[in-house]
Amino acid sequence: MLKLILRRLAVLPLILLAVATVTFVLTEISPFDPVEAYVGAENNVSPQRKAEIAHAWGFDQPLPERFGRWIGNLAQGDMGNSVIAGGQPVAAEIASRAGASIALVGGALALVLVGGLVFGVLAAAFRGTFFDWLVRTMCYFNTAAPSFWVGLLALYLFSIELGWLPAGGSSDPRAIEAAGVDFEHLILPMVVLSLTGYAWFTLFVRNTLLEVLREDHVQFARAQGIGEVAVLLRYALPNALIPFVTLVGTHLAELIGGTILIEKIFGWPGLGLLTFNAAVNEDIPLIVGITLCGCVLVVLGNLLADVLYRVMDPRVREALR
Amino acid sequence: MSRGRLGRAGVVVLTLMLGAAGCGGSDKADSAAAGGTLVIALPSQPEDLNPITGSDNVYEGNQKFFNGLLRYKKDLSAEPDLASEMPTRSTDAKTVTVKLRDDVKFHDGTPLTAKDVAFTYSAILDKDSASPLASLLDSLDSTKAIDDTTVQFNLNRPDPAFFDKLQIGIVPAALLEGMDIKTAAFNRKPIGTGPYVLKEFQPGGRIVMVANQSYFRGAPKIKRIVLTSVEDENARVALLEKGTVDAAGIVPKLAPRVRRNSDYNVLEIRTADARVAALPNRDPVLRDPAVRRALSFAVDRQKIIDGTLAGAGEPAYGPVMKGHWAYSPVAEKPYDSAEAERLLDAAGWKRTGAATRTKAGKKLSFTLMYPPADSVRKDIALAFASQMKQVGVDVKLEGREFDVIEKRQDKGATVFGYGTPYDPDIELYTLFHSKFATADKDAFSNYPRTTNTAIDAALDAERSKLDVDERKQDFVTLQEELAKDASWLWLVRLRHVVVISKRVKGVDPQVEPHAHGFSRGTSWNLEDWTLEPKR
Repeated sequence: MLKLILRRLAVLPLILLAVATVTFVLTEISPFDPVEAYVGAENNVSPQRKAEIAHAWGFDQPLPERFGRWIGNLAQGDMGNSVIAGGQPVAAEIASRAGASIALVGGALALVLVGGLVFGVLAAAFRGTFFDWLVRTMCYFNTAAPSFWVGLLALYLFSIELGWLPAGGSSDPRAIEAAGVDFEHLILPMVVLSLTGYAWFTLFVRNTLLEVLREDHVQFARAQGIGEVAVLLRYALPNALIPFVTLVGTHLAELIGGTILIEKIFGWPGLGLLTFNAAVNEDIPLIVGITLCGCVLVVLGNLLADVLYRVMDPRVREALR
Repeated sequence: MSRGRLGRAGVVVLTLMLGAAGCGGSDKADSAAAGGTLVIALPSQPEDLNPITGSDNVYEGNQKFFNGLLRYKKDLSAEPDLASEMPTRSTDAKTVTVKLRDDVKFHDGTPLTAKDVAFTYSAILDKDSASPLASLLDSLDSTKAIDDTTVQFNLNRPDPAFFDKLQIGIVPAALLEGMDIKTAAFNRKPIGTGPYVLKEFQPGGRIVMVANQSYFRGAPKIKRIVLTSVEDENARVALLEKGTVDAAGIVPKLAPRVRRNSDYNVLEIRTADARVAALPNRDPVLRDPAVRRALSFAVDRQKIIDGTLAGAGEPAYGPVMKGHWAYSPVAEKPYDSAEAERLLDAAGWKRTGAATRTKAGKKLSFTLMYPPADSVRKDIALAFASQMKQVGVDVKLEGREFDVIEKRQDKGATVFGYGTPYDPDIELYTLFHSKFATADKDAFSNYPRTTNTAIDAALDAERSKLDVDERKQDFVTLQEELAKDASWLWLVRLRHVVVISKRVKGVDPQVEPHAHGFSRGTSWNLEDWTLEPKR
């Protein structure tokens, strides 16, 4: 187990280097102009001044040189300075936004897990009934409907037309204390972010359960006269859950990626919104910084899932002993 | 076995969520006590509050942390702000001397001196600061502190618009000297002399400012102001209706909905902010000035205003707004589609169908681009295209980001937004002079690549003298020549629609520049507003 963890962590720097390289190259070939983003369109800035601004920020240096200097700084723990965020250090900018995103992703992940588990088990228990059909139809709908569309729809319906939930932001702007994350503001973005994943997990739990229910040891339990509910929860579910755990790790990446659109739609001041702004403004240090942080999270998430998988599956656990 | 572990993980996540819910509850309780707070919704958050580096500081509303040497009065004439009297010019007009007040202190208690003024202007010119304002100060060579209360500006040419450039916020030299200004922490923690002091900057969220109790003109009446960013135009209206925000700029077509709400005043503020189609001189169809002139007759400007702006606008025929000292009515030609058709016929484009004209087998057709996120520009472009169709001109509409528009400069027209109610030289010189028509990295100054010696001559003449009446003659000539050249098809001047709670008293807007939302025009006297308690 320790070997596994060490091996994965040893590869991490290589993954990060590869991701950073690809990100740098991608930003280089993107059509966006960092100077134009910096001074704003429809400005009165002369071409000569634009060239000077590009030089001051180092936009005019060739890619290998910029990349080399960036690696050098990173080795000393300096992720560079964001261009659009008032020239502030990338690390501080990311840290100041992380809380809002952790609340959003954490909440959505909880909904995905709990929702997927509850509805998946119920659908499997009542397989073939109207309830099963309803759950599956909703799941297909949620998987098919693009989340930005659902997000806009939810925003217009629940915030703008019905006025039940706040329209955007992470807390009441009038509040006296420092702005943070308010649960009422979190509900809509969290639910919309969780929809695709929840649908996927529900179907997954349902199908695995149905498969496990056909296996011999479950049939044996039934033959012993154990009740259907106990069979489902005590004998079938634990076995169905093992692959589920691995999927959580992979799904974390999807949730993190999903925050870009969701935070943009709901004006949620987290890393997703920051990513969006960094991307359209061609803010290379910020884009690379966020990408690397996301990358670390995904690798660690997968690692955690693999560790859990080994802890939970008795066969693997035995083998490791 | 596994259920237990998963269960515990679930409980941890749920506890985190409930913890957040607890915070939410206390927010609610406090908001009732916060009666002295004015919440303003902006379409986006200013990222940089330093006047030197922030790109939107000249015209946007965050100048409340700072003061300039001069400021605009309600009628947009200049008056002393940090200066103790109006500046004086030397006889060759190349030296401008400013006397400072001696009773002004920065938010940190240090007194303002001439050194701070010299530092601010020198820092803008310093290439390492990457200041977007450097272009604005192209006439400035150097700035010198003569003594504690005297500053001298040395110019490389007489600059009639220079007093307009003395309105940039002054920063404290002691806090920025020797630093890399473009990455300074100051950019998010501004210390100025202004009526409001920064209390909180939540990146991507809100900006909280509180009254400067020792402001040299007396403490502002409203003690706490929150700027929150709400990008969605419908969401801004929803937040107004819920009372979450007290003031916001909105798009004209949503004004009727807010007018039904008796808690708010809906102001239509006159602006210099024009929407104009730039017609590139290298486009195969638009290169002919006769075609460009004909298009202007085919535009029913009032119909665009009524149809897409809910009446919140006025027709625009040139770069200077009606009522400005430099305005000339020379280009004011009423809508006349018959004249447009006659001119197009004369230019060789003959009708060949219900909505087509051709010349030598080629169709009279061009592309019109607009930034897709801007619903006002999109609606104007749609209305324009349908009016062009009536005289047989085919306009293909394309929503494109500015980065793409920049690269397709010669391949189609674009709907731009320009207009300043201040000295016209600040904007018009770079927009029309042939000096800015050639370079490739130059799309947003002289986008159509106009190269017209008569226009150049008028521009060079107006900036070579100081006398307003003489300059007016040059601007009249400029407007005549622009109408003949017709590289810019002026459509409408918007009225900015601003919604403000009736609890707020003392709002008395200036004519606004192009900048959107809650810019200088409306909030110029923010420190004099009062806020009645909630009923």
